[in-house]
Amino acid sequence: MSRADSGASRRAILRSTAGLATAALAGGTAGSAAAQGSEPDYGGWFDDVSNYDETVDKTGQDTVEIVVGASGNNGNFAFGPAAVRVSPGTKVVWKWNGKGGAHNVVADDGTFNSGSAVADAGTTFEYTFEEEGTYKYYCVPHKALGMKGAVVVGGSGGGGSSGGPPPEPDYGDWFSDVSNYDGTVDETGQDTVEVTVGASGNNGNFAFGPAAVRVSPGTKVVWKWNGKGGAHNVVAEDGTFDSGSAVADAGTTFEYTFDETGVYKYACIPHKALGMKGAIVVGSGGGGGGGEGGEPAGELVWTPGLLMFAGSVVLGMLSPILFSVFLRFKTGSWERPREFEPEGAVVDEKPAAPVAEEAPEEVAEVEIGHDEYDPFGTASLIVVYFLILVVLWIFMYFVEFLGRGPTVIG
Amino acid sequence: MEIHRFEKLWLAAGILLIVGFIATVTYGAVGEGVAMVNDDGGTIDPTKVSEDANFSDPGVEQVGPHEYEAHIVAQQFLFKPGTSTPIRVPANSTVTFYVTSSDVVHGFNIVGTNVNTMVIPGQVAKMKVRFEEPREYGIVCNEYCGAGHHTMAGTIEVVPEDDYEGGA
Repeated sequence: MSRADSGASRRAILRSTAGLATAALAGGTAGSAAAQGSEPDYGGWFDDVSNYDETVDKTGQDTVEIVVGASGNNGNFAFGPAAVRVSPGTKVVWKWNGKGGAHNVVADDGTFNSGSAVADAGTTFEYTFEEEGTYKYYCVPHKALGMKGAVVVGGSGGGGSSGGPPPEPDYGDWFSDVSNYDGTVDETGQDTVEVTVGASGNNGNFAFGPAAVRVSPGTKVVWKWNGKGGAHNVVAEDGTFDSGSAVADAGTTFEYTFDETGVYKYACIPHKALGMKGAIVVGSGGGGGGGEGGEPAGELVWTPGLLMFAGSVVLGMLSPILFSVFLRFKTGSWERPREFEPEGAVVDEKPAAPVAEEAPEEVAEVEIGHDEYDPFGTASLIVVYFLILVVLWIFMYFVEFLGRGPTVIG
Repeated sequence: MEIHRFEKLWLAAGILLIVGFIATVTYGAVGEGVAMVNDDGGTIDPTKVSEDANFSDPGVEQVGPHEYEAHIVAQQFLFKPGTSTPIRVPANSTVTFYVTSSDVVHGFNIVGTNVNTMVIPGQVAKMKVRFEEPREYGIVCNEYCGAGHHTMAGTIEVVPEDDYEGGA
């Protein structure tokens, strides 16, 4: 997991570096690294896909073919190529090569679906992409193995653009009405990042400057009021932080340290409708679902159920000790247990055995006579055992076995 | 040898218990009709499952009044039908499942019931099951069959008799 994470984030960094470098060097002219720089943000979709390298540019073609059952993911569990970029209106044809068992093609968002998985070579499924966007899809039976793909429709793959922006997190339509949003400003690696409250934008001083910032985990973000545009405040969409009532005074600051990776959207409540909205992206991954977004999956969460289970396991393991402590306590307060008493008496009464010269020291033999046998005690113990047996028997056979709904009858 | 009367008593009770255990198993088999999965299903060429008359188009078909046959192919990592489309059978019917595998050993277990078998390539597992009430059941593969094993599952829908319009 951590390995994939670091790989993904390294890729993201490389990608953004490449993009920035291209932008800086090539400026507005067509850069050869354009396709590399404009790699879409798949949000971790390809983390476990072995044959994904980059998005293959197939723009400008009427029909694009993708092999289903291509070699990859430790077998024939891949789409070839995994990611393609096509122009709007392109017909994409998936063609089964008959390898790797039965496959199907199902869009993550349900846009298209080839139906049941089939194994026959020569099967085809086609879908014409009219709408721009990124369409993730997978093979249902082999999704866990990494049989996933994506079709990117439209965008800056044509080779005309200068290296695109670094991977943008998915903000939904959060910034659709924010006039001063123009990509996420990369401030990663800094301890403190300042955001101006009351920056120019949205037809007045109703903006955060910059609107979207990417920071490293642990960064302290300081919002600084410049006193323009009236009273503002800073309130996280999900309630993570809240600067309180709106204030207008210049020089007011509010700060929050971001430790958890993720995308934090926030707004100024009085001017939200005007577009005074912002976002803090924590972590270098591609947004919330990116390389290091979300919680570590393997972490143990102590739910009450789990606590109860762990408690009973520990108690179960300690029970022999507790029992012996109980016995000790019991015998200590009453009397020494009966079993030890006859020892001395019996040995004493035993006639001295004819001692051979090499005979070892006499071994004390303990014999429990019939008198020491407690019939009622033993009987009650056995009755308890039998009761346990009968209860378990009835439960196992009649409740658990016969009482479980439909059963095999032939 | 002297045996205490209490000892005689629990010896008798112990023997009674053993007789009781055997009696319940007999009751289950004879009275309730609980059966084991055996080799009645016969064999099949695992490389030609898709060409087999019964398994080329697996699914549920009616073979008599309230009697149905369900042919199911288990493969990495799906049940066909079952995973993509649920297996649909009517309530108040007896369904004979024929399950086989076209690749590796799988399991076929209707969750929460005793309907459970290993699905071995080359063998057809045959199980007759009576479904009384409409209900949805899950199916899982309970034999490790590869990297996607944990995703291999399906559903059986027992639908009210009147609503039944053919199997999966």
